[in-house]
Amino acid sequence: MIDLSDKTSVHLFTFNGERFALDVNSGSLLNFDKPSFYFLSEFLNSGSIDLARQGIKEKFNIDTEEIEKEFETLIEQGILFSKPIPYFESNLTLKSICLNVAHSCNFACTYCFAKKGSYGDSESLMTPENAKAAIDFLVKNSEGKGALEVDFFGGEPLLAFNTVKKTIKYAKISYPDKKWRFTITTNGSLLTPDKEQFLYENDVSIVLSLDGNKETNDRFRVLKNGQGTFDFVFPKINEVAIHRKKSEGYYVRGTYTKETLEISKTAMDLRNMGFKFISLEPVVTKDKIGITKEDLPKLKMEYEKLAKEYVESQKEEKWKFFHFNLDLEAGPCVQKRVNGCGAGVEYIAVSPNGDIFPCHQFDGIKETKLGDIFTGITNKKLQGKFRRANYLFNKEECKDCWARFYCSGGCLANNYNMNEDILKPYQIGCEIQKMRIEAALYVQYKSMKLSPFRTSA
Amino acid sequence: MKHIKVIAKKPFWNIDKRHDCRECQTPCKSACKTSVTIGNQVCEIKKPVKRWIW
Repeated sequence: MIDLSDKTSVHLFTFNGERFALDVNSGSLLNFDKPSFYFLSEFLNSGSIDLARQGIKEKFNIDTEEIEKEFETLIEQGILFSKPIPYFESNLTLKSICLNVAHSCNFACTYCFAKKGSYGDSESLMTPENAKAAIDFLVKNSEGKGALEVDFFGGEPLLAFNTVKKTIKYAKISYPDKKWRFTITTNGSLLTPDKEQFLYENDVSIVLSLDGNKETNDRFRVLKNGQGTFDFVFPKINEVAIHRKKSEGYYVRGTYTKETLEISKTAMDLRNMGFKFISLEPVVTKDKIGITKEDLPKLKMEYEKLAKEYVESQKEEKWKFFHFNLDLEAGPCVQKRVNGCGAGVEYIAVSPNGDIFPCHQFDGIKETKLGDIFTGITNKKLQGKFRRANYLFNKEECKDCWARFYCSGGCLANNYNMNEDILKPYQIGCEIQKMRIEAALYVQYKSMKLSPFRTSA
Repeated sequence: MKHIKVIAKKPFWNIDKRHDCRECQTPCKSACKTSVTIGNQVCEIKKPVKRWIW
């Protein structure tokens, strides 16, 4: 019969009236009718098969034999209450850099973690020479890796477009055997048809920051004089979306706060503006606009509403909400799932002067500097700490979490910023992450029922 | 089955568990990007993607 020594190996949840179980170790997803869901819930709660039988008899007046047989089959097949696949701490190697090409921004968004783009320092732009040196550093330290990632970030990276352009050309020409993956995260204000053409032709994915409609966006995304930015950036962002049409080469990405929790409306607003690829992320801050425990029930309702509307709207026209992208068949291997984002080891951020930080969010925090692109990693002790923190099972609170194989242990920068400890998960982020995964699993189920259309990353 | 529907059957076993090639995208969960979690990703060997999004 069922081994209940590891109750955490099954996660039961309901979403928009549907009943599910996620078998944590195998990734199997099951959908239940009312009696079978009740039976499993009772069994997990009480640990007694007799109590579960009795309960179902009283509530549904049916015999449990048929249901029990189904459970037995699933257990036999390793679909439910499965044992973990063996995994281990990967030997991470550098493969990804965030080039903070601009410690400067023409916007002054009130929630900006980068202190309005300057990262708390004097404003500066990365020179093409430093960017090229960073590319050399990446290639030199990523032996054996085929695909290398470069993300142009800031501040506003288009302030340093000349550097962006030269870096891309340099990487491709100097290291043609590498599979280059370029991304740029921009507020869109400095985009021109020429710049977009260059980015498009060079397969640069573009993340465009826009928080929603004019009212929502202009609440926090403002110029230095306090003026809203929507009217200014929308035509430019829209132009990119039209140019890229149905390609997956762009995402419109918004930030939501305590004061703008209505993500279902915001997402649908963006979709109704014509955008096909949309993402909304929670602000992470200790300030008063940060998400707190009290906001979670509302957020859960918002996710349920959005998931429902999302599934419904797919009948009219396909679009993607990033959090619902979850490929049940071709997702990453388990080994990848337990070895985190690689911050500080596999992934680093480089500031305009060439300093290396564990990721873009650590840029400017002097005590987290790992070295620089000219002399290499000098703070090996700190890097070792990040290496350990990347392994899921080195974080006490992640070991038994049902979401561990979808989240892989949270964001180390969030842990540091909110808890001053990279090993201590930022709890609000964890709760939002869980909502997002449940919503994505629900969407997968509904999408399968609807049509052959499947969301995928 | 009458009471239970299997939506996904052991997907973690679909991909060679010894792979560990790490050729797929870095899963940066930072909210200032698109918060790419492991859950959002695909196996680069099984399903190569032309453009990645952060």
